[in-house]
Amino acid sequence: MGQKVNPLGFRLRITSQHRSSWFATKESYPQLLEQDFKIRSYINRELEAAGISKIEISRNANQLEVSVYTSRPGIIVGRSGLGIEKIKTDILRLLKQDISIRINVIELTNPDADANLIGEFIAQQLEKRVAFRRATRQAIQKAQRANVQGIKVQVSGRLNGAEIARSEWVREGRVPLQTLRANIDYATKEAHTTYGILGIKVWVFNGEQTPTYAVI
Amino acid sequence: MQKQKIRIRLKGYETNLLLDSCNKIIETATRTNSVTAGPIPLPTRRKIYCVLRSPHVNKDSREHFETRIHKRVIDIYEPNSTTIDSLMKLDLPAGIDIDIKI
Repeated sequence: MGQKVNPLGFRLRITSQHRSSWFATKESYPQLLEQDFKIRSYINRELEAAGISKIEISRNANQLEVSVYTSRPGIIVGRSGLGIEKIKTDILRLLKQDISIRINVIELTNPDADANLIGEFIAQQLEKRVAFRRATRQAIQKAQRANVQGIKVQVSGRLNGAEIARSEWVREGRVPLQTLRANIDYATKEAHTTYGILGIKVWVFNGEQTPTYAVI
Repeated sequence: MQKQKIRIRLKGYETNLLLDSCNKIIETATRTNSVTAGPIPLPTRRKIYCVLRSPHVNKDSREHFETRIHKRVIDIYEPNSTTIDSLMKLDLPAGIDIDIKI
């Protein structure tokens, strides 16, 4: 009887990939890690309205490449690429370093089957004081219309403003957390309400896939 | 009798990326007619980090994470200028650290 491991970390190398892929020696690792953190918090803060799902960062010999997966690339790119230029200058200013940055904006093919976006949706509804059961039901219906094989949503905290916090979860379809080759998208989001913080966890099961390369 | 040689050391966290990079380098070298030796694997370094699972107290419950640094060495003997040119222009995936010594 234990607690659950993060399904993304459990499946690294098999069905999920690292979100930051670079190599660094002992001396430069902390600085690069801090840069990654600053870039991610900046992008999540500035481009909240654009529905961001994943940010991948990779470095290659003094070149930084940031890939942003989003459901609304138009908002990020702005008019004729102005948005991307602004992001580049802001990131250069944050990092206080002169490195060449490349930003890719990738559109998600199926935004309703993405755990991050579903979590964001539920968080926004809860912050607007919608009843949590209705918010989760709406989210699950959206996902089912997008043909996922399974979805599980858990909301914890002072649900509906109750004095005693509790945790409730709803599942549709199947979500096999023990199966390594299952492609499970997982996200954790927080909703800041007047009663406190509500934690939201979303698991989306997209289907089984055989590993892409031989796992050594 | 010293042969001129280039020693390339590759370091990375993932073996499949390393394998791809090694194959690319060896392919470019053999295509420009140089003799190669390798990839020679060197011992893997494991760095283990043990952290507390809980944000407060509970000293007995911890979790281990590790990073593995894999290393490979490729030697290229008697390189000609085309080899060096194509190696410099080679585009290798991010996440591999390359050290070239002549």
